[in-house]
Amino acid sequence: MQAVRDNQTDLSGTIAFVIGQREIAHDTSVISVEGDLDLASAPDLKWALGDMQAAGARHVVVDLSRVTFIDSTALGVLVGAQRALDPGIRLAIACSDENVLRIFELTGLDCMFEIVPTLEQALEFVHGSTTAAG
Amino acid sequence: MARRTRALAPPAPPASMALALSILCALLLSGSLPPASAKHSPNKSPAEAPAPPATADVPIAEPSPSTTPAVKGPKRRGQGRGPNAPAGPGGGQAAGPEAPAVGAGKPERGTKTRSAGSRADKRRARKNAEEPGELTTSEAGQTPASVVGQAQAQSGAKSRRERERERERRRRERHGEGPRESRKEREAREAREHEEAARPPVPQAVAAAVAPGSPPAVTTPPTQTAGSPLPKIVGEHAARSTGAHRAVRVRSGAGVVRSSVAPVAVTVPAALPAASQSNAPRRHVAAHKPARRTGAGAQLVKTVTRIIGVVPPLLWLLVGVLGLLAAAFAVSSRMAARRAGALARQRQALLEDVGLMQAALLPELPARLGPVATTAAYRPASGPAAGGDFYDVFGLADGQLAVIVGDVSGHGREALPHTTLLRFTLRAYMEAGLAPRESLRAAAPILQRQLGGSFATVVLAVYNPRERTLTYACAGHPHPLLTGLPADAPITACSAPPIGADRTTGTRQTVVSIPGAAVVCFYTDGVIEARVDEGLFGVERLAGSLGAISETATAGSLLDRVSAEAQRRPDDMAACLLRIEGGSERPAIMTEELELDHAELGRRRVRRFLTAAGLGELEIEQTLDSARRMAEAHGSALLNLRLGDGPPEVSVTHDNVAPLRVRSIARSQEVAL
Repeated sequence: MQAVRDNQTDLSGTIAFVIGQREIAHDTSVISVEGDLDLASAPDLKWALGDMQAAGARHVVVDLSRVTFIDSTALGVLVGAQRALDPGIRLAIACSDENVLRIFELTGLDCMFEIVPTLEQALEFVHGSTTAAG
Repeated sequence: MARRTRALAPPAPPASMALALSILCALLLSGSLPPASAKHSPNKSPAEAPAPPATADVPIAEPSPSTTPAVKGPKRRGQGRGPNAPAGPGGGQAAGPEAPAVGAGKPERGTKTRSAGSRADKRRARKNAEEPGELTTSEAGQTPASVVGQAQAQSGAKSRRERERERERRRRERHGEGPRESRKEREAREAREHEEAARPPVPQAVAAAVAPGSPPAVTTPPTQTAGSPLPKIVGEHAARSTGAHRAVRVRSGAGVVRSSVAPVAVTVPAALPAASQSNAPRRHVAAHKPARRTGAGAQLVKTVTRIIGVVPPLLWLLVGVLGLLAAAFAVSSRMAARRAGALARQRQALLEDVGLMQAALLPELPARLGPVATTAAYRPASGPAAGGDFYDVFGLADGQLAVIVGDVSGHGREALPHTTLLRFTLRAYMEAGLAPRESLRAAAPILQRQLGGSFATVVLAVYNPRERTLTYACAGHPHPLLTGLPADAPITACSAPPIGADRTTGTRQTVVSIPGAAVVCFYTDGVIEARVDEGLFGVERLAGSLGAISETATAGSLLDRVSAEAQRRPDDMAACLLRIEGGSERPAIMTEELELDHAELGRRRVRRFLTAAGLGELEIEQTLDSARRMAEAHGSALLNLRLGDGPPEVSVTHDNVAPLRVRSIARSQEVAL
């Protein structure tokens, strides 16, 4: 059940940003983002996170595997989401892109999130199989 | 500001449809008109040519091409008779030779009757009457007694009349002409003509208006029949005048009159344009005459007059209504476009105001502080993200120099008050003597509460000119760029988080020695995140730009350079440059201070940090063991690394910053007296 939330195309006609949301299992949600996560597209991520929280998901994974760029606006959205998590809800970010990882590192936010290379590892983390290791 | 929104919105679809409909109507109507003149002209009867003036068969040109029968439609008749010679009772058709001489639409009139005087006269009279007065026949509406009508009555047996009419009708059908004008219309027209013909001033006007064309006019009539090469216009005038006078002749009933007025007729052609124009009933003639003079113009006028004549008033009303609709829509869409343009300009002005306010809140810096030349610059974002960057440079005790450069998340008006809050709060801690890292660590919890949901990245730095060392601490902020040094790339792992991220910050501090001349560049992420062709501007490119202008580099020139190379700047840009002079050649030393608590020690990034510092595996394990023991004992451990000359040295001590606990603020406590 994949619901594509938003789709932005740039002037060249190629898809610049896609965000999708799906439920893997009961109370586990995955938000997949593709493309540039910047000022224009950060609000979509915010709404997706808000929706998941409202739906009562307890295990949240943000899949940034296919994100090409992330700026301070999107980082702010993630920070806000992390801070607003009710106790007991676990959030993990799946990302293996060098550039995106570097941005997390430069801003020091890699200490704030659980960032793992693959989606599977992220799911393991949110289900409590592993402890924080970032 | 260019008129961005100047481009008008295209007319609303209904308006364009209305316009299209109007044009379509007009085209359809004009397209339905048969080209009468072409058919008529070639069919001149050669018999006309030699006809003497007495017979009134002088080839007379049609008054004008635009008054061809098709346009006149219901009212006209007889025009077609000329070219349709075969059916003419009088004789052959006028041949080609006459046509060029008299122009398009050469008078069918001329081809008419030769033999039967009364019948021919009748018909001629009718035709003559028709030419000038056709347009106004409907207006006349009166029914005065008509000489022609009488003549007709006197003409002869009804059967002959009927036959003529029959032939006429057939001729009309062949040429697509409309029905004959009624007797009443004809009478009215002829009465008018009678009046005009009787008017004396015409010859006087003629004398004044006789143009150089008159001599040709004089000679034209007799030579016309010979197919003279004289301009059609002249022939036409002659014909018309002759026709007019023929009408006069008919009315008077005497052939002699014609000869007497012949000289006048000769001169009249030249004056007819002027005279006709002054006579209302002859206005169509006037319209035609000037048109004849230029081929294209004549064609246009012909078409226009045709259209005007044949389109029923209801259709004109419809066209008018559609035109009005189109105009109304065009006006409204133009107004909407203007409104949109005004709104866009307003919005841009507001955005510029935010940039202006931000700039106004930033301090003026002294050009020099001791041995250091300082410059700072700010460029608001090109768009809604303006606002949020801040900086400050000020002196500290012992001749030291402090720098603050930061970026508050969020934009516009909500970010502006946060920038001043951060700037003054952090400045206060630094002026109080706290080291950069200590200032951050102490202020962050207080600031976080005041920032609400926002967070801010910031770099605090202190330059000691005596030691020639730069001490700085970043909170989620890019490391400053240094040129002129054999600089090691800063270690990016284990960077402290921003203020407001609900994490302890101020956990890392770097000290860099600056032995010789150098330029230190503090900047915000808007600079390196400016968009260029290849993606982002980036740190490497910024270092290159700085190196290119290092001799004369100022913060403003650096930002201008970045602006010039970037396509888009979605975020604010701020930069602060320190130009440090003098010094000597000495190795550059870098020390790193990293505070780690128990949770941090468990993270992978500490290993990355130690690896980047140049420690081997074994050293890393030993260091981590030592740090864990320290953290257990004291709550946190402090790693000290010294890099530069020789192998890295690491020592582990415990946290040396006295924590400033923020007391929870009690809500309105009544103080008991």
